Amino acid sequence: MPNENAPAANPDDNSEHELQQKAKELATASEQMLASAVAGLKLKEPGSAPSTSNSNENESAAAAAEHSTLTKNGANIPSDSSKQALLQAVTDAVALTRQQAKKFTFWSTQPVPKLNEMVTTNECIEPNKAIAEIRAEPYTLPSGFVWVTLDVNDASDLKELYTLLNENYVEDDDAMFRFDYQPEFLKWSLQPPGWKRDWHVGVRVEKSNKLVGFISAIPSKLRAYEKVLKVVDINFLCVHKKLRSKRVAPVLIREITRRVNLKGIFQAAYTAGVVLPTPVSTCRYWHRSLNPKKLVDVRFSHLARNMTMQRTVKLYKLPDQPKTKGYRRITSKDMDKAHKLLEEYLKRFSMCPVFTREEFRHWFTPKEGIVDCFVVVDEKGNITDLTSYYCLPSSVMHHPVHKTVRAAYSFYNVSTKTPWLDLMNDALISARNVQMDVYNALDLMENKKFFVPLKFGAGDGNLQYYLYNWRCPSMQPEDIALILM
Amino acid sequence: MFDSDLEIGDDEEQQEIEKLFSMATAHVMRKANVYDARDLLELYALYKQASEGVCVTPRPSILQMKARSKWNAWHELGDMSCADAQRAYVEKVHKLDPHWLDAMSSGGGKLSGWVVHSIESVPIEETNRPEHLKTLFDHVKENNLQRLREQLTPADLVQLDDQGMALLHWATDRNAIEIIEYLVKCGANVDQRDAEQQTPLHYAASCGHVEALRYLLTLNADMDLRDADGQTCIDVADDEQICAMLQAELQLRKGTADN
Repeated sequence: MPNENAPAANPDDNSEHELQQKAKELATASEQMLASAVAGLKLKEPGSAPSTSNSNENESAAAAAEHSTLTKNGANIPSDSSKQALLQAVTDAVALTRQQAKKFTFWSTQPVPKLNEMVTTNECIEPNKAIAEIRAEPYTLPSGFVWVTLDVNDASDLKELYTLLNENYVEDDDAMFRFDYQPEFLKWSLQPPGWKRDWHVGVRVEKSNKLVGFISAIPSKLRAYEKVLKVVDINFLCVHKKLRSKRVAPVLIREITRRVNLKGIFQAAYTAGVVLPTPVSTCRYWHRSLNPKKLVDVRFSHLARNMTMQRTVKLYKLPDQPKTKGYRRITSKDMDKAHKLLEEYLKRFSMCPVFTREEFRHWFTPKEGIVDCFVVVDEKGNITDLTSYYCLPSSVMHHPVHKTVRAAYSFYNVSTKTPWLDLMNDALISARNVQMDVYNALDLMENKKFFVPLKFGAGDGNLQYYLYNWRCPSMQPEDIALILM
Repeated sequence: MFDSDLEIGDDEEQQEIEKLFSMATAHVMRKANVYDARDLLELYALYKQASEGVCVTPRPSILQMKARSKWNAWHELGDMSCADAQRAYVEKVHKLDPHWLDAMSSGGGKLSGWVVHSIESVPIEETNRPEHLKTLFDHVKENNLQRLREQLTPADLVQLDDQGMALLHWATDRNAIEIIEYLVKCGANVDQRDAEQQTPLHYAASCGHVEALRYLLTLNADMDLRDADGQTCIDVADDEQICAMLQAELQLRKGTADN
């Protein structure tokens, strides 16, 4: 339906027109569709009822106003990006409503909020079960497949997992880029304090022993609004391409749920590109070029028609060294102070992890090519600011010269004394100095404050945040402070 | 709680075609201003057939020309099934734009996968310039040698655009070696100045384009020319490799001159 006019559109329509057209289509959509469309447009006040076409227009206007304030602060080049982000948000909202029409055959059986459910409480959906109530034996796989638990400390298991993810994690065969999670990265992200081997669940072909499926859980604590939950973070759900038609993913999800339930945990956090019932929040990736020439070469980014490479190179140029006084890599001795700083800072968000000291040490100890963390220390030795990122390269498909894009992903950042722009500019310099090609960040926490002035451009991918067996009012990206790899 | 451990889903193929169809409609929405009217009419008809089924609305009057031709196109599809119409729509888009799926995956519309790999969004303007409005400058920026060959006249070689750049500057900026070669062969001055007195060598050096730089040097491009800021190509060099190349060339030329 939203495409009603598209095939017959006027030949001299331009993008402004397209934007208006889409906004109009939204406004004429049914009430039910609007509710989710507005959710897609990132409604400002989670409590209010997003059900009239007026409120939708207001939100669009609010979003537009917000982006114009943003652009006032900084360079004018990325204002196009903001516009782009708005256009994308509208497109996504339209697509979201289309999705809603589909039935979620699997998810409708799961303890997750319905897509258009109005949530005002912050509570579990199903009560915790007694261990005796939980199914004792694994779920049944299609014949010819068997369950295994992987040992990521075993070189051959790790290599197999690496290969499975490398070749199958991004579903799209035509994708120009694929994540290339390094084996050491996988070990780090799958083995935080309290990790359980039983939660590194694999599926093998019985005959050939080939690894064709995987899902993982790691234990963690998470605060949703005022409640702290024992959860697992679910990640690396991956099914071999040839098995896609066998609907293995739902079995993997049920099996990991069973194994996690058996340890007395009944909530989970996960992220996905796809819209399922029901996102707590929808975040978007932004990208800051560090090596613009290479990014254009591999078509990660694009030169606007009237933009020269010469100006682009100049635009993204960074100083040789970080500038903030007292900015340096975190050391083992800093850990407890830095932990406190982050803990205190995260209190302002509606959803965030609650790290133990050991967990903090695990996630924030620099590891070359995996994770890096910097702090700003004042004259008295206090840690006032912190910035961190993890490293996740992407394979470039079909390029004669470049095989990989080195990407830094913003992790947790805290600014209490150093202004955001100074802190994050130094973070960019640190990343560039270890030959990262691009610095990526989601529009959560306070990240939007520095995107435009620091020349980030909007990405084309959304990341949905989900909670399993937990219902709470949806959140704005800036209320979220949770990063899953 | 569950009847079966395995989800027996909806018909996979039907889901697949629906997904493609919805991506194709999004693609058409973006490209509507580039496709010609006949193609759009055909897409319109298939779209109606796919989303509303057989045409049963009354035929618009002869005065409503546009509505009538749309109605005719739809009506002609007869009782084609919804799935067939979706398939035909996708095929039509594929015929118009063999790489449309690439464009989709790099230009948004990523809503299907678990895993999201974001890249920078394509600037809005990029998808919007109709072919017939493109200038020589556009062909150079797009590295389209064939179009350039068809349309280039000698006067174009010295023309500066609204950014104060000649075709050769743009070709160098984009590291488009074949275009540089062609322009020079057609008589472009290898030391052409832009509005800021930069030569192609300035562009190659400041962009870090090794290939363009090497080629311009073989053409004996002048390394001593200074731009409006008084800088030579070595002063604006992007990185050490470029600097080294230029220094080596400088030594070489000096040596040749000395002998």
